[in-house]
Amino acid sequence: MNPAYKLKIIMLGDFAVGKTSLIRRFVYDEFNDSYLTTIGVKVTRKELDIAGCGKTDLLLWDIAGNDKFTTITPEYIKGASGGIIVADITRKNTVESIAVNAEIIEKYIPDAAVAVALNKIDLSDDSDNNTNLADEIMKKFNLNWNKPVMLTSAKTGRNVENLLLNLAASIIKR
Amino acid sequence: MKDYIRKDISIIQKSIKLESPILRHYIRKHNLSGLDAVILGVLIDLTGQRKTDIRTHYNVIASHAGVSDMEAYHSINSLHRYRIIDTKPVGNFIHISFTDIGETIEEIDLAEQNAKKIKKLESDVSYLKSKKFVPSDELFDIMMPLIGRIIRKKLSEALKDIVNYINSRIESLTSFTLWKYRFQSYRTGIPLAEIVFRNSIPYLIEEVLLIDRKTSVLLAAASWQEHAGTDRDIVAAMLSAVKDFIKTSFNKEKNYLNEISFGDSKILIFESVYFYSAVLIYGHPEEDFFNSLDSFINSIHVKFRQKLKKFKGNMDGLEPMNILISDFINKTNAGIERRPVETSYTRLKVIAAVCAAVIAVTIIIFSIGEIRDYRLEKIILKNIENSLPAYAHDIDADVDGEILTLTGSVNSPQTGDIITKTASAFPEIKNIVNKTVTSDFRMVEKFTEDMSAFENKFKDLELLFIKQELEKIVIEFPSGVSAIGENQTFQIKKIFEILKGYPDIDVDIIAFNDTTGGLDINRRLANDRMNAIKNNLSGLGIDKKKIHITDFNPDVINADHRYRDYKNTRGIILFARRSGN
Repeated sequence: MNPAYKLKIIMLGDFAVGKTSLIRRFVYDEFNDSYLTTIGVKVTRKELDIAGCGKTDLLLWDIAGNDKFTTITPEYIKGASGGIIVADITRKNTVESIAVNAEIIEKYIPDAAVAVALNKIDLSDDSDNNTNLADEIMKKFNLNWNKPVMLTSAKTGRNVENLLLNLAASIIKR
Repeated sequence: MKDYIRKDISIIQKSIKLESPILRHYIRKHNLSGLDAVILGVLIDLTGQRKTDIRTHYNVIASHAGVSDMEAYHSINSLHRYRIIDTKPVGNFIHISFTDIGETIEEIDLAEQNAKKIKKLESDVSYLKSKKFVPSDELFDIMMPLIGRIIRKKLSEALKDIVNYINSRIESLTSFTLWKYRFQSYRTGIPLAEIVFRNSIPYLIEEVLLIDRKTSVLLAAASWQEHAGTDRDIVAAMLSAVKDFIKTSFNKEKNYLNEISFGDSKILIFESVYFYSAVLIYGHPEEDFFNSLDSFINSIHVKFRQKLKKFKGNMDGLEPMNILISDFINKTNAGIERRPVETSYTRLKVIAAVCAAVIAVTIIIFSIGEIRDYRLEKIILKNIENSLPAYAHDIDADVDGEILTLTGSVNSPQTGDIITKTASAFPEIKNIVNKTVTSDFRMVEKFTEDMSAFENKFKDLELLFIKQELEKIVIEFPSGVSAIGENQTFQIKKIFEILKGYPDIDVDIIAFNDTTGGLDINRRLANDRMNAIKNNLSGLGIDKKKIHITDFNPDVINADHRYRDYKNTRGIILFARRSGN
């Protein structure tokens, strides 16, 4: 059956925050990772069944980390319906970069739905007990963020599917 | 180069270009300079259109071409580097021959004739263009109905020539495919050439993807062959990414990637307002194809533009696009055999079965042949043995069909002749290859004996040397002790160093003792010491089987005057001997 929707979702974040691992957790990977290092992007597909919306294909554009050595090609971002900004909670600078990546999204795809994934939560000691950890982290770094934030773990799979489902649903229901 | 020479060259070049399609072919293929083209033209002329080799001087070619000797020299070297000609200095001359061209002369001639026909039309168009009464930009539209007919006529004439040419070529061919085409021609009434032409030159659309320009999302797709291959959605997205990557990396804002080639296939990319089309094509499409692709893309644009303008991922209403693409592919590929995966697999199985059968039959035929050859070899050798004394030859025979190859030695050329004569009496053998070597058997025998005697003498000397060296070493033990200490270890290592290079030498271990303690105790101690030495030597790498422990007998040492100093001491001596003695 053909999908009712096909959505382009971009994934942004610093080097080694776990973007590729998050994708690998849930999708069948058909292409070699060398695309990431050669042209700076690799696309994978995730099929979802969203209640009330039907079958939806998410085309996940894993964009190589933006740092002083690499610049993101704006063309890869353009046309995306949604974006996920990934940060590694064990590395302070990657959380600080959320604001920079949010600016990039705002500049090229202002209408896109955006979510933040605070990844590698399995490495945090109090992640199980502290329900406000995500907000606390965002506040700690003075990030005024009114969009969804989720604590994720590519290792355990925690919240990864939810992150994608919520983002896709918010795009379709707009 | 001076101007007047340049002018001359240009004139010669023009005249040669017009007259020789082969030269024209070379000039185009290698993008030859004017000077090289002139020299090549002269060479083609001097060799009778490449048919013969020539032996000449550089100055002869230079004078024919109207250039300096040095220019002729450089040009000839340059043509040699292009592998158009092959040059070899022969004394004061230079030998020049033409290397083979991949394309046949007929093909080049035909292309030339067609080019000339088109050239004629070009001059007509130029003439009309020069007339001022029709604006040049409108000329094409006005003239199209008239010129179009002429072009069609000329093209059909050229096509007819090609068909005739192909016909003459293929009639001489024999292959399974050709028979298949012949049958098809007989069944359908279509000329054989046309069928071959259709099947050998066509292009084929393998797949078409329509991709949204904004989102890079795959809008619709269809393939010629159904296959469970790579995910088209991902391919579409990655193709967009590669396209964007090239656009940004090479800073080509206005130009975009429009073709990716791999082998005989290519992806042609056509941009439209809202989407772009990626067409995977096998072969080389003609102008007609691009025209029909244009109309197809246009029809998609017209039908779906409202939907595509607002496209943000909702696939609703885009389904009919897939059917339109399929129709377009089917229409373009009409007449080309579709090969579904299952059929290919079945066909593969049939081919495999046929191959297996062919291999089996070949093996059987080959085996039968081999058995026959083997039997014949035996009979021939038997006949040779019967016709000659045994000492006169030492040969081997190898029969392969009708060919007999003889190898080995014979004692004289006459013996060789007798062997050939004997073998040629067999009617099965049509050709004898005699590779036997004539040698004097008695001389060889004597030489072998001498060598053997020398070898034995050498071995005796070797043994004598080892014996002397070993017998110099006496491994002494303290009273009542059979364990190996530092002193003994050192001596054992010396023995090992002597023995390790001679694996065909055996050693006997002989023990001696003082008379203290009585014979029984001394025998036991002697045995323990001999075993300890044997084990140590074996541990170092000497084969245990080469080390022999002897019965304790003090008289052996007592009788040997070399060891008189060791009377009333305790120790071990090793004696070497040749293996088996």
